[in-house]
Amino acid sequence: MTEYRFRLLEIEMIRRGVAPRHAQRAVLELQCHHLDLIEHALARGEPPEAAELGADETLGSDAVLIERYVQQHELRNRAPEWGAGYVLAPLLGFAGVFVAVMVVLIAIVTHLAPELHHVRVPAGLSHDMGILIRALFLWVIPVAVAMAFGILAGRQHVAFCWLSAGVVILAIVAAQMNVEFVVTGGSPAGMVDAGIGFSTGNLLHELRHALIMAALALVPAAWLRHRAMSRGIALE
Amino acid sequence: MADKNPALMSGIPELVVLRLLAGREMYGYEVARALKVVSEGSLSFGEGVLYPALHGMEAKGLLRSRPQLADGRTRIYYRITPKGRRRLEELTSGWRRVSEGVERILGATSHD
Repeated sequence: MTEYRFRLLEIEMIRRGVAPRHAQRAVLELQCHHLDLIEHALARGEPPEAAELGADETLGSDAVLIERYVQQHELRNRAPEWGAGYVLAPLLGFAGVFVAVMVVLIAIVTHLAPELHHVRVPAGLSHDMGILIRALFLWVIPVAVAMAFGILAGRQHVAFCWLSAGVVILAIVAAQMNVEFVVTGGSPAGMVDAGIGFSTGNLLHELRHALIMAALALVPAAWLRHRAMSRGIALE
Repeated sequence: MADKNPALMSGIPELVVLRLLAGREMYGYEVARALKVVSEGSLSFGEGVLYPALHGMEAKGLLRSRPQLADGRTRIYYRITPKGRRRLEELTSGWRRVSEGVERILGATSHD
């Protein structure tokens, strides 16, 4: 059995509904088993061609193997059953990461509050920190979360339409958000503020923001899928 | 018999694999060799079908696996879990009951 045959075996298993991680692991173990069989046959003095043929025969037919995998319900790919969950999952993921990072920032500022009373943060530095924090919350986190879900959806063979819907919703919500993070030092030491709201005056700007974020996440995800499809393992 | 008692027949690979792994952890090739040696060749099968059985048992929590790099290859070692041991006991007693029943029938018919 050659590398090509193992690859075909993996493709066929995934096509028949076996979860990709089980198919990939099956191929990894079968390849290893095949090499062990050949090595032992060679050690017994068999010629290489006979050793390879014997290994193919001992491992059994691909059709039987695939059928055994397909029959095991525990090894089936469940992603198509809950693919619609990807419509909300990126938004929930974003909310979770957003809150977690905000809590960390507040904890840091609270911890530093006594020291901040005695220092004066220059206005320029405070302004730059505000820009960085806004970029983190309104660009880096939503795009990173959307990209992570893009990779996850690709691995789980979730339909691209579900992922796209989820990423677009996340991008629209993130584009509506406002974050203010001001550290001035002295008393009071500054403020942390986050909010969400629609602004008809900035609608075009927010739409552009949302489109760029969605594109940043969906283009790599689409490219990864295209690469997987060209290798023949995409299911849609 | 396979038609009347499919659960029992489908439990045979599970039974023999769990029995072997109850002794020590092994990777797929070792399990196949051990099956051949212990059964003295009486259990004949395409060795590839061991893997869906192993993966299925792992998914049910009967086995646990760990990868280990050896000679440039990643081998997946399997070991039995406490749940797997309980399942092994169930399957063993079930198999003994059936085999004793079959032995009795064979003995009775050979005397007729």
